[in-house]
Amino acid sequence: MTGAMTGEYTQLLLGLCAGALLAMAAAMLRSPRFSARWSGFLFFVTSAFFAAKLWGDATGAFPFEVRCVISIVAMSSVGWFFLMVRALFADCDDFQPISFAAPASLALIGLVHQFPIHEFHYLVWIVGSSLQVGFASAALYIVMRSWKGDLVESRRRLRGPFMASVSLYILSLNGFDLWGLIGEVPAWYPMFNAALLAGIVLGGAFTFLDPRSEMFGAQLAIAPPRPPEPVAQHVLQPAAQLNGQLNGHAAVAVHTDSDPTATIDRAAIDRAARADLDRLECLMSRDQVWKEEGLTIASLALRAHIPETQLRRLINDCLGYRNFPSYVNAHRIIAAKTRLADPVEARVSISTIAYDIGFASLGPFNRAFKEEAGVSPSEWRRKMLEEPSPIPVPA
Amino acid sequence: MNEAPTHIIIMALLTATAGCMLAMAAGMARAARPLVSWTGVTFDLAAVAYAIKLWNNQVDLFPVWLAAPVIALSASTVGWFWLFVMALFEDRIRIRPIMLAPVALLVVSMLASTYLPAPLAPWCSIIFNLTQVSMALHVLYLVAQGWTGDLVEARRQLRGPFLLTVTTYIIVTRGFELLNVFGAVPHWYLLANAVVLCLVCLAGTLVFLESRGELFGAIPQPAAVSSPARSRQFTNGHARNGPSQHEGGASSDKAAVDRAVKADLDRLHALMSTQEVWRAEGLTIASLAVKANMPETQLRRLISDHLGYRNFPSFVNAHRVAAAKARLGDPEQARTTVSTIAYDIGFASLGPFNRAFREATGLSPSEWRRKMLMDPAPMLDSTK
Repeated sequence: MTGAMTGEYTQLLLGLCAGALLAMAAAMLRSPRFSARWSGFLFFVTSAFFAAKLWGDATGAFPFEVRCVISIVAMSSVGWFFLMVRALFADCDDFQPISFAAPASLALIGLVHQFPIHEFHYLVWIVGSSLQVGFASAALYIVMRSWKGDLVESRRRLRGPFMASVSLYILSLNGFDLWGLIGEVPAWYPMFNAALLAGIVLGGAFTFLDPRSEMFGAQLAIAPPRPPEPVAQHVLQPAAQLNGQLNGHAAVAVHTDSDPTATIDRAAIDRAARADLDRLECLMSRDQVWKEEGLTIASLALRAHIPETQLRRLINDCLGYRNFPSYVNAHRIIAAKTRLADPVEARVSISTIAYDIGFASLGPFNRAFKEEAGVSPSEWRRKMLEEPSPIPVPA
Repeated sequence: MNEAPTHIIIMALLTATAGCMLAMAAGMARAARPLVSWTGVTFDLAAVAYAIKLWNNQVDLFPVWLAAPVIALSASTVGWFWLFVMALFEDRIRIRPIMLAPVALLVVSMLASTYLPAPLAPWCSIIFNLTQVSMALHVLYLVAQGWTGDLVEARRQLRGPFLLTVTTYIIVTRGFELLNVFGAVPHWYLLANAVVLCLVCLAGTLVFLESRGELFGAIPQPAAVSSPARSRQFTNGHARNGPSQHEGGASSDKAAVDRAVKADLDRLHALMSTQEVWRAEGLTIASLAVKANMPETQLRRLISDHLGYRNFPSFVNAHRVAAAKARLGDPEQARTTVSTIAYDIGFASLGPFNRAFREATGLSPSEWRRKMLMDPAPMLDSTK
């Protein structure tokens, strides 16, 4: 491999690092805890600057001013790292103003380092490096100290590999820096360093990132539509389901049983949602509005006297449906199953039933029915009519 | 701007794009629905290959054995995007093997247009680009069609601006690629493509990723120390994966688990509240597990999932501070020094006691005592 090629590959690796670090910074913005959100975001952004600085060193592409700014920002990254570790591993929720001295002092040293005062240059470099090593070691100490008492399983498992990779990187970075002071740094060092950084960054991406839960969360358990008859007992049911099914928003603690310490506003929200749910339930089960062909969420909202956005949230968060057609069809299919199993209606054609319950054509009805029941409507009818005892309806 | 910096900027943008999509693949791997997860990861990796391929066009480093697979994977990017959008937006879709055929067509036509001789190559390239355009149009159709019925708020917001941008990007770049077949691509296209690609991918991370809930999730409010049997479900960020705690009637094995957990919680409560084992200085989770006669892992899970503490010291200190509050508010012990109380309740020194006390009450121990002894009515606990 020629020298020029190693240079290109080094640039590739550093570019990968910068991109992945920016992606991680973006993800941190969605962290619900203030301390973790901002320390994480700033750590990843400044680290991306660090990768950019190494890239600039490798290519010489940046003009002097740009290089200065990038170096100063990059210098503060270890300070943010220290803060992020405290938020992440020691559950530190609010930083004292003095905590920000860590990144600030490093950035200041980075700034001083840019001025070419010859006799101090070396000294400033030594101070900066030792501060960085100091903050990194303090961070590692925090990770180690709170290890035994950690109750969050995934975080416990993370601690070992985390400490190992951070130490390894510090060692590599500073070891070679010192090597550079006493002798000549080997030619393969920049590429080695870039590869190590890329490995650690990708490991970090695997560890720290989640797909956004609102969008990619597990399919919720759907609250099955109830048969239209009984009224008294299922009024209570929706409220009980409220707490458990907060699609994606559930990063907050979910407490389930009737908790005496539940806060007032929570209870009020629950009551309001419950009233809305009851109204919705009334429309769907008693008035059977789903019989209407082409029922839209807008028209349902109008009838239920609930703003459309709120209705969406209600059906999604409290009843667990991810889209409106599947909610409406759930009601329709229940009705279809009953009618298909009814010997009195054995001569009514399937398409008549489909039109009656609000499907505009037979194709969508067959598809929806098969999805729900696992068999086609006519198979279902045959089965049910052959075997007089009603088989239990799968929810 | 002269030629050399443009070249370098293009390369920097492309490599950053690749890194960004690698991180996205890492995040996507954890998606709860397997179909979404694997189509998402494959799409992200194909996008990485696409960026790397464009980068290699600049530097021309890869030998054929490396370039060919990269080109093949990159050619399938739009196809995986198409499948990914279907998996994400159509909640009940199943990907049938036949749906992989268009993706395969992309790969074959791309390889043919790269490695076949002149008269055939342009035609393959045209097929390649038109297939992609039709996929992008289909994505637009799907996105628009399901829009009104979509109940997942974040996904609804995503439909409009973001997917519109991505599909427009795909269609426009395919247009330029078609121009390329006829040799008429403007010179600024490469740079513009790299800039837009990089921005779209970064926007994608903003839209699709979040920090891992288990690690960065909200800290639940712990259960108060005095109420033992109340078991709340704290999930420390796992909540999204287990939203089905209320499916109809709880099944019988679930009930059995609940009973077992309740028995464990009662035993733990007896140890902590009746026997006051927290008085032992330097109580560790291992020794508590031995005393409670349960495996350490189970005890950890019990305290974190059911009592809501994220670390053991804060659990023990909650008991200690509750005891300290009682003693500091007691007029009969007004002459006992704060440090004596601190040692009595299991703190090894005064510093950690002061810190823990202040964290819980917002006051230092001596301030608390002064307030309580001045005002005989028991002060409201400010932490609840």
